[in-house]
Amino acid sequence: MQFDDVWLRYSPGEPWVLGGVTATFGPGEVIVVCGRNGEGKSTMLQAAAGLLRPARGRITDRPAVIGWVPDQLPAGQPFTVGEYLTHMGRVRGLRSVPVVAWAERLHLTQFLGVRLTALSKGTARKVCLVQGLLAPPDLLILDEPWDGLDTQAREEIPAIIAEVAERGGTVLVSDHRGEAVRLPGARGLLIEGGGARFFALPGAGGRSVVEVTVAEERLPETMALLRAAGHHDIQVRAR
Amino acid sequence: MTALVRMRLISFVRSQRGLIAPAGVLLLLAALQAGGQGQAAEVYGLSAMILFPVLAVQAKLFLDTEPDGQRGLAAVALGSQVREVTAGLLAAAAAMLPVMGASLLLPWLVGGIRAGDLSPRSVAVGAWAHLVLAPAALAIGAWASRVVTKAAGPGALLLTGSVILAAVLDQRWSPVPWLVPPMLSVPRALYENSGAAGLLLITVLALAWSTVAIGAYYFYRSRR
Repeated sequence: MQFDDVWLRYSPGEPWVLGGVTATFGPGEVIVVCGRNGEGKSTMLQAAAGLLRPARGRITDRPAVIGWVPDQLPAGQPFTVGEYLTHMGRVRGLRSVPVVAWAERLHLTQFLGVRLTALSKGTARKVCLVQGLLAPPDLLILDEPWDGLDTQAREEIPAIIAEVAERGGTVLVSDHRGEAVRLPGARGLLIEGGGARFFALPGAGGRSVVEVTVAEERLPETMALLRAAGHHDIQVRAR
Repeated sequence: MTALVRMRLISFVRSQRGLIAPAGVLLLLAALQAGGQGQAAEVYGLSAMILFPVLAVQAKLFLDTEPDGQRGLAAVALGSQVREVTAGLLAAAAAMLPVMGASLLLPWLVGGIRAGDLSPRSVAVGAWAHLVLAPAALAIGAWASRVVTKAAGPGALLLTGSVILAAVLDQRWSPVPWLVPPMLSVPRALYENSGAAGLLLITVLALAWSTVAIGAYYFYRSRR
């Protein structure tokens, strides 16, 4: 898929959210879309999914089967989890919808009969994830997929991403929590000032910033240990 | 696309959002028609006219039932925004059919039509009166829906404004009746027994108006 000088804003007269983004995403690639709040990560992902139309430029070679996983499930619908996922599979043209298999994998089985409106945030996120995976996607787009998930489900995300990439699918995933370090081989795409540039993620030789809290009496000892291990401290502050 | 139409119809029925407006107008029609023993064509012309704004409101309510995010998921799942829009319009149109059916049946139940008038022709004329206005009601409802108007206020204004404009510009003296759906022309033609040519002209005008309005809706949605 190719972004070719893509410009996008929500209304005429408003500032550009994407201002001339050019990028190519190949089969089997995992791209982690990073950037500060409001820089246009979700806009970029929605454009990739075909939900937003560029005002200028074009997006070409978009794969046929797209799994779109937004940052929240539109839960205000009168369906149970099982009904909703079955409907979404049918909308995708599936005769046999693999609801049970995905429910087992993401520990959703006990919620299949529960109404969408009664789900917790984390469970709704899992349902949202599953609806994007019902048909094996050629392009999987995940908007902050780790948000609100329990530890077990968070561990599943890198495995799912790896499976899609191994099948030759492209994965675009936004992340502001630093979870992308779990994605070996992924490339970073920084959205900043309307533009986009690729960068090396920590796993590929870069560095990460980790914030930790330490009991005050153990601060000197902890700092000494960290420095001895080759880490570089940036700032120490009181909480 | 059929699966999405089915999903949206189920969602609409379960949400029960569409019940109040049709129920209210059917009660009103029952009260107006009860024991009236009128001519079938006149009675059906009047009920089609009264039902027109209600069907427009119902179309808006139908298209507003689904959360905004679900439209995006459906479009991606279908692989086409045009198909998603089409599924919405088809489902909203399908939801109108039971209301129109009830409106056709109602006068016979409450004695609104004289017994001798019961014939396939009178039922066909009634069906025509309802069906010819339905696409225009669908178009107005679509333009008033949240995906276009973003908020409830502009949607209500658009619905009300469209119907009042139709009531003004579809008068006999109007120089530009083709600017609005034939909301008044339908009952007038049936009351005056205009004949096949008159009904055909109204049908052509109604379909032309609806085609332009629905086509513009498609164009708007495809540019977003």
